[in-house]
Amino acid sequence: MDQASDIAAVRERRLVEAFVDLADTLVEDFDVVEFLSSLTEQVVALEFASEAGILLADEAGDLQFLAASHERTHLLELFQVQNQEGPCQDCFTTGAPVEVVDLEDTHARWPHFTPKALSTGFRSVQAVPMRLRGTVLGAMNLFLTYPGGLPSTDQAVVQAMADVATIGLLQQRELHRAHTVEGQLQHALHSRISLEQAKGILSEQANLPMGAAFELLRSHARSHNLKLSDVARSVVDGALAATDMTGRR
Amino acid sequence: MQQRRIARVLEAVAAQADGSVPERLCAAAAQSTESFGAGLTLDAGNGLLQTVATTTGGQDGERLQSDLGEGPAYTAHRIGTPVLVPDLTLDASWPAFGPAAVECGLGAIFAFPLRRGSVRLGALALYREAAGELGDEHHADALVYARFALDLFLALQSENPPEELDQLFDVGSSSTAEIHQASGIVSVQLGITVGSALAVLRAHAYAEGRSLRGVALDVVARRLRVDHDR
Repeated sequence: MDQASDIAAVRERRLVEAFVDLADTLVEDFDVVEFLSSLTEQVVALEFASEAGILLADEAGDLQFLAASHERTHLLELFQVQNQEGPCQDCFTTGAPVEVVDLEDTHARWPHFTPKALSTGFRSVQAVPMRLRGTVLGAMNLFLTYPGGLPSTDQAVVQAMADVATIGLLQQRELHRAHTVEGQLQHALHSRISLEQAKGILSEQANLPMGAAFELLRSHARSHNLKLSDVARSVVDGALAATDMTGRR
Repeated sequence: MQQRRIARVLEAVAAQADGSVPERLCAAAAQSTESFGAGLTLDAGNGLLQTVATTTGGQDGERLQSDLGEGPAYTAHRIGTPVLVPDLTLDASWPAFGPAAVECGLGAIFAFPLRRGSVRLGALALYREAAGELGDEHHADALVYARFALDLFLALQSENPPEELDQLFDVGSSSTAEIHQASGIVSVQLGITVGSALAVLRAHAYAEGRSLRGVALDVVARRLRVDHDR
């Protein structure tokens, strides 16, 4: 067997494992932001993109950042600017995937998003819609550090992962009455807000940058077998402080 | 986008003839969503919800929930997501409230939590005599009314409540991570709740003629330290 088909076989196996992992999570009790973060991390681990993120529309129709492969400020800014303009905004409005093979060519189309994305080190972008029975809920965004975008063979798989993200959003078990799609989406958006509130609190209590504050929340949740959203809520309620989590001031 | 919806809600509240802002909010919410009545409740501590404003049509529903300590507003506040009951006769969730509400002539109730992340203040409830779904448009309006009510109560709790309606709501500014992070930071700096910190940030932005987002960015970057509102 030649090297190319070896590589393809390995990748296929890893892809199958990734989908099995995601499915296993969906039938258990899970935290929605944690799940979506893991999903975007899988997208990166499987080498579909250098970074990935998920945006969801809120009650005002604005695209809000939900989760990403890394919680770094410059990356989060790239997602946030897209509630005004950018590939995710276009994808959300049209309901169709948006492919950008070279960001050098989109300065006129997205005058704010393009320079930010380029200066962060990205050269091409793909946005795929998160759809539910004809309604577009949001978008998944992939960033690559080289021009060309995703090969067409990868695009179907990436759309499938976005569909899994949609399924995850609608499977939040802790809501005992919210059988409506609206309720599920609202809850996911509020989980993210709660996380940001907690990050702010921890960053001030322990003098940490926001990315490190997120890691503190996440590692505490994992090591104590708690949901990320429950830890965030405890921090905001004042029941949990940075000193409880780091053991030092 | 839906900035128009937000602007419409503000206009509807401003256009109400009289009453306090919470009362006008209830009246506008009932009218906009074609509801018989509306009521606003706040968490009074100990898991109790206290009605702070209601239209005439909402009085029965509010009184029942308050007397019985259960109902859609209670559930919405507790779980943090909207509770929609298009037909009270078909819903067995509240063994005491359900039948009592039907007996009072209520057919449907839709309750929306006043919530922003982990900040949970209470609920907005819409009451109807006829059974039936709320509908997507009215649902979307109700979410904006609930958001507005939350911002209103946070502002009223602050030391210097704003006088203009548009001070209470960021019509032009979208929710961003920095705003919520800054609320967290300021809550620690001033020793206040995250909700109060959001109100302080908003008051500061308005006083300085700046956007809430700009102020939040400065707070997160440690370029700005906000004091208690003066």
